[in-house]
Amino acid sequence: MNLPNQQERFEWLDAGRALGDLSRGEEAEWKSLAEAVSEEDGFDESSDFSFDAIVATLEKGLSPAVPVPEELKDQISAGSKDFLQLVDRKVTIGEANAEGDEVEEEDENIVRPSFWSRPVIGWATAAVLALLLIVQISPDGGGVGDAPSLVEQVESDPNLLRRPFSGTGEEAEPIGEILWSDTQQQGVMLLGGLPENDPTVSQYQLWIVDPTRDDVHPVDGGVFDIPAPASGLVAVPVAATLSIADPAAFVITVEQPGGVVVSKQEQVVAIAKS
Amino acid sequence: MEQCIASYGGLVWSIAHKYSRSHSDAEDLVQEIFTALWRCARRFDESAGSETTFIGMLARRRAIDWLRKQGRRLDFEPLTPNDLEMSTFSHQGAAKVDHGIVMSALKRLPEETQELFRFHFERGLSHSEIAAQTGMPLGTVKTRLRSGLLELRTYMKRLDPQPKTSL
Repeated sequence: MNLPNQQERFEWLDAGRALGDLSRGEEAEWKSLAEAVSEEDGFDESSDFSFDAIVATLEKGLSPAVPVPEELKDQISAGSKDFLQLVDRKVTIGEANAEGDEVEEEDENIVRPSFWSRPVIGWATAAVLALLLIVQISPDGGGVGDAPSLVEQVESDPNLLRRPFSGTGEEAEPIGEILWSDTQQQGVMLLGGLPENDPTVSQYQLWIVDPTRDDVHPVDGGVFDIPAPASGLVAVPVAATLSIADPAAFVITVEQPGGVVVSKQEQVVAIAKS
Repeated sequence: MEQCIASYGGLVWSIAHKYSRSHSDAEDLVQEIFTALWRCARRFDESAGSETTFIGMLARRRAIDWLRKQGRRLDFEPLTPNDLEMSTFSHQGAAKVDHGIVMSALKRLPEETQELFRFHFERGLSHSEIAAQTGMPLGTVKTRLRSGLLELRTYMKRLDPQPKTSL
């Protein structure tokens, strides 16, 4: 397909994508063309109007105003608070600070929508910091670094796998979530509901269940600690020891210090299923 | 959070209500949209567009994904894990869209196309429902909506030949 035809075809499909009516085949074609046209010399997306923005404007311009029922406002507020419980105002950066202090400063370089004004600013700031101040815990439980690019890198994968972790108690309480990229073979856990552990007594270990592997045992995803005070959202990079083709589940267990080669799964604390 | 719900709850609710058709489904969808909004809020770039556009885009995208997951709309194939996720949502990289320009351009489209847009955006009808309502073949509805959107953008460029870029 030559460039003008390719561009025209892309725009046709992009209009369909914005309208939400792409077929499965068209969607695959759109993804392929999106990469191709963005690599072409002279292609400048910023000089054009986004179909997404146009349809959003039409949506608002042609939609009759519908007031939100008061009881629904309360439900939204309560539901939002439940979600945001995972994100504490204070974000732990663990061993990055020898005294164990917590970070509350805002990053002034971050542009925020006006709706992030008080009282939103507490959790909104925490959410940003949670994603920018990443606790990197190496498989031996030590070593901390700033890896703001990891979440961004993983999230840049259009085929990103994002699954919530649930506890294994009767309530199946939310523990956090995992972001995994098959393409990049890397991922990160954002955890907010696990208790701190004493690394001299036990450590957490991630296991990745991949049914496509010949080995019946799950793949070791790395040993990690939840440092004290663990009142915030902790980001833990996945340290998969083998290539993962099709993860069906992610399981966190408690193991002896240093982890184990094969888990007896006697203490399963969280599961995320694909 | 309360301020956001107060300012944009109506927009989100109207989109959710329009696409879900059932009050309880609409409530679930509103919750999903706001959760997605908290997740994606850091991606807001004021130089790329207004908050209203940002939230409208996100709400619409989420509503479409939600419909596909629910399998409620035959026009939309169900999502698989490989489908585009909200994690890729962004409103950056394109020229700012002015509400007045869009509505002016809309008026220049053929009346039949405007009517299709009203069916789709104002009443939230699926392509199948529009086809049933108008007697047009389903494929024609799809084609005319897409070509209408392309034509609309062409008119927008004429009305605003030097759009403000976000970069």
